[in-house]
Amino acid sequence: METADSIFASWSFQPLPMAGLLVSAILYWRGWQKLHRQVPARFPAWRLVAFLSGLVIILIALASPLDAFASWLLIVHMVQHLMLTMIAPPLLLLGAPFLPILRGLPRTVARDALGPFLNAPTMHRLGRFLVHPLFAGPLFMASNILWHLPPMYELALNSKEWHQVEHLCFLATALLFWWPVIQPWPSRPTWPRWTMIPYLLIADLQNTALAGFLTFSESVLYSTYANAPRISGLSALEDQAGAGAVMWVPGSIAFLLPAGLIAMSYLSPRREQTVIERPTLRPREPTRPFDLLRRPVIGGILRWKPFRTVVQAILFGLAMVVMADGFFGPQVSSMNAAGVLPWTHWRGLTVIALLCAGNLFCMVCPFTFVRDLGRKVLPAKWHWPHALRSKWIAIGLLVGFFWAYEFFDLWNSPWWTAWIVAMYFVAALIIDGLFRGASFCKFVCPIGQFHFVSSLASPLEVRVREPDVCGSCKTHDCLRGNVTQRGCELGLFQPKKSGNMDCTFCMDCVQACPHDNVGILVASPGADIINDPVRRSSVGGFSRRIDMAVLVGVIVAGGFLNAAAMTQPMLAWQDRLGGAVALVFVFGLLIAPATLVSLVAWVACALAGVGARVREAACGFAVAFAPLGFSMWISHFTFHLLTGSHSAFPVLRRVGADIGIGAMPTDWSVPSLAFEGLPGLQILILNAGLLFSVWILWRKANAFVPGRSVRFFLPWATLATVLYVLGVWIIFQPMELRGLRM
Amino acid sequence: MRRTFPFVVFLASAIHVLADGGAVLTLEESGNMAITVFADPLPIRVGAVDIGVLVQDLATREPLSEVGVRVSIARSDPSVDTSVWPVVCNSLNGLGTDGVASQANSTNKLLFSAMLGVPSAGDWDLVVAVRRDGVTELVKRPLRIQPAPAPLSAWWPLIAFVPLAIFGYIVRSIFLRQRRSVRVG
Repeated sequence: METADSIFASWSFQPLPMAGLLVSAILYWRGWQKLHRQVPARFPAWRLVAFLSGLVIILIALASPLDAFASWLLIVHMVQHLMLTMIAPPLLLLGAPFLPILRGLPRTVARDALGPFLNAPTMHRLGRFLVHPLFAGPLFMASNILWHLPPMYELALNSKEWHQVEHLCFLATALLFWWPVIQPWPSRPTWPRWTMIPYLLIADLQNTALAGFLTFSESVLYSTYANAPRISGLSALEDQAGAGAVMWVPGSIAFLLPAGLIAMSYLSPRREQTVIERPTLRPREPTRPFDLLRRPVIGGILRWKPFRTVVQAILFGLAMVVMADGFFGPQVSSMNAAGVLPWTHWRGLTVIALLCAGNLFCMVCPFTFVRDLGRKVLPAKWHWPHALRSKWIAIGLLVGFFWAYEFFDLWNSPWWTAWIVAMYFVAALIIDGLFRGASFCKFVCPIGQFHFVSSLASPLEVRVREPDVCGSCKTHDCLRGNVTQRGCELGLFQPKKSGNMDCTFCMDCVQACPHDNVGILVASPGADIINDPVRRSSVGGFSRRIDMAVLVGVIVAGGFLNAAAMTQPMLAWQDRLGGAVALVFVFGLLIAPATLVSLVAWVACALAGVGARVREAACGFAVAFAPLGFSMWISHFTFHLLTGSHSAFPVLRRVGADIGIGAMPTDWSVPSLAFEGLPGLQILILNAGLLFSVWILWRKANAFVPGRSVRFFLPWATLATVLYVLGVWIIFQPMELRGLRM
Repeated sequence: MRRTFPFVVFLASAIHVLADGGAVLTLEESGNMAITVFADPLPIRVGAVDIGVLVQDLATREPLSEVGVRVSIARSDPSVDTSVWPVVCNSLNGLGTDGVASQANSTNKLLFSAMLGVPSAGDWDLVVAVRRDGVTELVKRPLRIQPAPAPLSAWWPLIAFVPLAIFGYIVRSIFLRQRRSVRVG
């Protein structure tokens, strides 16, 4: 490649800044379109062009060869800085970006998240102060001088982080500096327009002085450039003088041109000002909440009655492959479908589905596929015993499973994995073959309970679209079913259903409703846990269900313990403890969470002076930890999914070769989707879980003890923080990589 | 705040601007070539290290692209092993202690770059082999590898996001309360 070609090919793609620029462009574009329709005189096309040009200038400054060669040539670096301080900011401000970006944001974000800040008088005063010429002008000049001092410039050149801070300073102070000059609508000037002429001239004086210093200096000021390889004909000193000239001439033009334009506008004969009418806002049409079933394509597929059975049959086939390979294939986890598919891929994809949508695995569960087949011959006539209508059986099975997973290394035993899958099929077949309804799903299935609890944090829920329609319904087909379609087998009556607990997304209610009044709608985050309706259909109030609180406690504790057990310090600890670690594990899963929650509930009630409500508090507030526990599970499973992303390919090739399709894989080392920033992604997920849980705890505390909510809230928040710290510690530990050949 | 809000969007997009691709580790003249070696990060720490090599004709200082470059590191003092790099980076990203450097790996296309994995701290030797017209020139340099930074030092901004978000929520609540009291008043 020729040198010139190499230079021009030196573009970089940095995801985060690019995404930021793209999001800014999209938001502005969305908002500008709306405003352009309403007030075309205020938002003509040139504003859009100016704003997008500003973004393109930033893109060129940060991603073009200018950035790649900025540490070799000071001239190039100076051009980059001029683009960030003299060209991009005025263009962005000419776009009058405030209203378009605000209108481009989703309405709830603009209104609920940003609204209180944007309307606060304190923030208005702060905003006016920041863009006041007496603050913005000196700040811009100080930033310019400070970053050109040799120690500061070297600091930026030798540290990525400081270089980012430098660019950020340049861009931020320049936006503030140019604000009073451009005065983007709808802001109002603090000073008369003519004052911008001396304002710009003073800035030009500072720029000229600095540029002159660089140009006429007799020594190289920045040692990095003295040591940089010389790829042009310029010496380091000539390069420095050239950079000074760039700063001097184009820099001065950037200041003097607007000063001249302002002066000309004063000297020109006055023109009549065009009065621009204020926008007339049309009344908003009532908006329907997002409904997955009303989306094109996906809605049609989900409503298609055989859809569930078809996917269940496919997953059933996959389960058969897993079982067969587990029983008869090589007993090496990383080479066996039973060692890879359930423990790496299925778990990871399931939690991602829970996070992005809802309980999709239960929707297509292969175990209920077998159950439905079995019911064609089995009676299914008994009612599940009243004494067993709780989560205790499932809790016992869950604790047993978590314990066995670690101590029998289930992930490392295809044979045991196959047995578990087989036993699951048998249990689902027998229980639901003998008892009515979905007793297995509701009271026994530990996987189902994990999904029920995790889906408390999911964004979608099966719910009625128009409550009024249900008010006039007499048949209650969603619960009872009808001739062509069964109703909810888990006993959830749609008009009184709240949240995702016990909902398998089976769509029976959707198909049964004669009014087409059940959809998969967007859920109000945490509302189900915060409001905790006592008359919630089939579930009741969480605050009255000890079994539900224990279930959540086990799943939350399981998330942390399961991940911790893979870390090197914990593995060493397990080796030291030997057999006794089994007891410690059960303690950590069951006794520790129950004790901690009870203790915190007691302390919180004592502090808030509601000592008689400890049990209600413990049960109701334990559920609020579901998002935090779920975030730990996602963080953990995402790690496995990304590190073992490609591990299924050689395994499936091996399975194919075993049955005579294709050739045996020769190379078992597979690429991975793991990346350097994976711990960061895991921390972000955990952050979201913590903030969600803490927010729910705060809202619940406000409802539980109005007026003394802070005292009641603090012990719970402390417990959540302790769990979060534990989660961060786990993420930072070297992890055992399971299910991979290395 | 109305006025400053758009800044937030723009500034957020500029936060992760990367620097310009490492600092000069060594510059040597060997045969008829000038070989400049860059490293990022500097000082080199346990973990991934980006080694970039600029090869120039000694006489003309013209960057050369028709050369083959290989970089490798080897431990000069095997007894020193003060920290272990997290397993995931070492084994899964396929980083070894030597590799072919190419222009495709670098942002700056005048550089030949290779990403190496340094598994432990201590004294190491860097060897850069540049092959031009059938002749191989070697650049050797001792390296003092620092222990890996504590994970907290790398990820603290993400952790700091939590108290910041809580602080933002508290401020928002105060503003909302003020607004309500003004309306009631």
